[in-house]
Amino acid sequence: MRGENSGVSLSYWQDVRQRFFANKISIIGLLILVILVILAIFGPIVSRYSSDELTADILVGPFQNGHWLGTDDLGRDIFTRVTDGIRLSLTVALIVTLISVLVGVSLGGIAGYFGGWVDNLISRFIDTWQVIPFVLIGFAVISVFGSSFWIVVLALVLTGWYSTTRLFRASVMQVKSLDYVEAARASGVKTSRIILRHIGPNAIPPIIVVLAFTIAGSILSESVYAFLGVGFREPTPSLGVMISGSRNYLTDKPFVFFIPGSVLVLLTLSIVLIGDGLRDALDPKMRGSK
Amino acid sequence: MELLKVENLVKKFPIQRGIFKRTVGQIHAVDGVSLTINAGETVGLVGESGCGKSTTARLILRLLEPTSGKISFLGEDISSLDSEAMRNRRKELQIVFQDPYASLNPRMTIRQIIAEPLIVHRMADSPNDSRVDEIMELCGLSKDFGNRYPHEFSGGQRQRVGIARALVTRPKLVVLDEPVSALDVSVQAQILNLLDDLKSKFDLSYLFVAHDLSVISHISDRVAVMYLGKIVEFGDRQDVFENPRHPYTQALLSAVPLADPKEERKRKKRRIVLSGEIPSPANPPSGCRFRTRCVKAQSKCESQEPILELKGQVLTACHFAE
Amino acid sequence: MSEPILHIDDLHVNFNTSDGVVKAINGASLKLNPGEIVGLVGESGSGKSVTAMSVLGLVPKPPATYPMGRILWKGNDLLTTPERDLREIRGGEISMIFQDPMTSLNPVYTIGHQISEMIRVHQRVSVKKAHELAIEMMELVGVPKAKQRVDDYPHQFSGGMRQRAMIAMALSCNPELLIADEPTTALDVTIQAQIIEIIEKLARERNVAVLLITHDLGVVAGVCDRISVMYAGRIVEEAPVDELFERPLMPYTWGLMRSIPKMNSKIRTKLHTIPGSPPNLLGGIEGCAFASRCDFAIEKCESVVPELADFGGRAARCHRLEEKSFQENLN
Repeated sequence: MRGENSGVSLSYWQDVRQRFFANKISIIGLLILVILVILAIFGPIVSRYSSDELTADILVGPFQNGHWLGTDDLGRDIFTRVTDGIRLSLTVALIVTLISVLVGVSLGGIAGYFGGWVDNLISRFIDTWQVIPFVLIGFAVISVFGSSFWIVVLALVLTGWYSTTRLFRASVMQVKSLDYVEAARASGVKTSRIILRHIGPNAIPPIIVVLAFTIAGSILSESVYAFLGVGFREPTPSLGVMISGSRNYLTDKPFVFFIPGSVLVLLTLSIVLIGDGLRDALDPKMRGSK
Repeated sequence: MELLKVENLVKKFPIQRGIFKRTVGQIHAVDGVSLTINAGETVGLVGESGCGKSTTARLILRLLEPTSGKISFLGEDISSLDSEAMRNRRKELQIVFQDPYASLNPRMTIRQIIAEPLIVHRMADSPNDSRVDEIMELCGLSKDFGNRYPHEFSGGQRQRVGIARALVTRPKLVVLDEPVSALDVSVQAQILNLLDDLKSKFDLSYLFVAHDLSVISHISDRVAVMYLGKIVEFGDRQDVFENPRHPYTQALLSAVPLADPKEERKRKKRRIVLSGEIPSPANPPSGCRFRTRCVKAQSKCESQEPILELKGQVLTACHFAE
Repeated sequence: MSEPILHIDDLHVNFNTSDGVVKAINGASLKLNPGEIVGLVGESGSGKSVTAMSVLGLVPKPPATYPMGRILWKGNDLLTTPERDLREIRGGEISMIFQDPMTSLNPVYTIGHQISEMIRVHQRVSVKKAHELAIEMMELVGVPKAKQRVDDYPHQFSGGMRQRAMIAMALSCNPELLIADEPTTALDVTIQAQIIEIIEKLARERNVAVLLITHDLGVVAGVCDRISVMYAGRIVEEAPVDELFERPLMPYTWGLMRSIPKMNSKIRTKLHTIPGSPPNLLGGIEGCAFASRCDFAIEKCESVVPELADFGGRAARCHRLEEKSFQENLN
């Protein structure tokens, strides 16, 4: 009989973890990310320079004069700036995603669970908000309030909060309609317990994948804003700022462009790969298989 | 002794259109259903899709709120109880669902699933309570299944878990919403026998909802036939099956394929094949709802709705029942 | 007796999955004569759908492989027929209808368009003529007001009507074989009766052979000439319909018939049950696949696969049938 042959019984998260680590793509993504994070943490400790420090070596290539990745047009060490950039991108992305998730889970959860006019209100609000083009919002906020760290975070949150909300709402609505939730009500389970034990744990996994992509998206958005001049500005060591600043030297000294550019690509790619791996690992249809 | 009494139960679902969700119509899912279930009996509720039988089952348990009508359980009017009081009654009124794959929370172990009603009603402190072991054994589930997850089991085993969960608080009435429809024939027989055993063991009463007439015939003491939100025939199983009065019941019985080729050939000549489709519950026909497909329909059927009254041994809703 | 038009000969189908090789079909043989209605009965996992889909080459390979066996259609092995020729046969000589008419019909085209398209693939007719033929077919299958409804979309049809539309599509090019995979499982009982009636009537009128696949013994009892019973990827019994129901020989068939609730019984008896559940086909099974659940199993059953033995116009796969007394005592 089935059930007798299964051997060790895995809980949901154990099963997910097992499948995630069995996936080569996930491992590659994770590895790249870990390397970049290590660089971000230890970069400033290991490097002799600080990211604002102007040296006499202007636009020198990699591995010259003690500059591992060279210097930019103001003589600043690229290695130091890039590792600072990674840290900045990740910090911004994580905070933006955290706030979006908190808002998304609360609003989306309320809309999805209660339905009716509450849902209608929240959904129409999202529809209206979504129509406003995100870049303009960013421009508006930053041109009025300047480009400090928290203003950039705010600009990104304003444009990112509603996709998590929508998704969580859909997830909650889907789970709420399943028989086991009705079974819980029929057993006399209180609403709070239904949300915590039945709806919550089953509605959250689908949005975990989205989280990974939201983080990647925030990193890119921040870089794009910086590149366009409406996000972080000089001398903040954002990867987007670095890429923007290298425009004039593209033909002569391409490394000033390629180094921050590649780092940005690697950073985003690693997170996307992890997201892909998570999606496969979380797929309920594949539960119990390899 | 009368365990459950349902009087004129009505449930209408609004049809909403547009951005502001205006109500443009109503689905008459259940339109004036009355029935009783006595202690120790199984009442079968049978009908085709859209007849309202599953909705009726949920209304009785107040998993859906009735638009109007009265539900009495053990003499008490439960249709007007507040949610806290209703929750308390739920240990006596339980339900088993149709889909063994959707009715169990995939994140809980079998033991946790079965123990939950006990914990919620403060009849036990933890999933390791002996009552959980007891009911698992009675339902044919080995003890080592307890720490496993639903996805590791087959449909039949999951359905056993659903049954165990429903019975763990020792309810008096169990509503079964198509409990064997999603199972293979050989597994179906196991579950039907199990339900029979449990009924005698715990002195239960069942409201058994199904579309499969052979199953209904096997398990019911009394049978109610539903069509488009109304009960059209209600009586003892033997009377309804051997001597159906309502034209719909007659057609339904003649349409059920029997696993007996010789019988089938005889019946083919007498088979009543209904014309047309089941009308939409958003727009049921006036008067008698079955008239659009009925051989006996006459003008009276269009203007006057027949009421459920005693004709011979059964209650029938038809002007021309013989 | 004419030559069988379809002969599935010792078919074997394996599926390569990440857990290993699943031996879905382990020796299925079936013969269909022209104009005959044959039922293929089995529970979930028995392999009946895979068998049916293999006839038309609809099973994706990979992950399926066909290590052994042939499917002979009018003498030609369909398993080795090139895709181009198979396409001609699909719809033109062999048609198939499926269980869920909602997903088998394309929601963005009208019913009329889909039927005409089918006709134009196989016959050289103008668009207008195909349209007329489509209306004719719809009338034939009993769709009321066919001339108007031909321009309706699938969602405007009810389940029963959609299934009729599927039948119309399937029969529009006058195939010689219709494979119906659980055509009425998703329908209400009263609609089911209508659909079975249409299939039977049209099949007899047009001399179309029908392979009716279902888990419902009642459905096959009413309409089939012969029945094959499938279990765990093998045909375990095969007989003319009356004989099968009167005297099932293989213990699985016997057990199955006793576990079906009978509508007309006056006394309420306990249903006979077959213990356990159908086996996992991963890696294949030693001996008789039913042995672990069989009330009559002997030692031999666990190690040796029984042959599909002939018993005068019918066949059954069971070691115990070699004993004269067993046959008589079973029924």
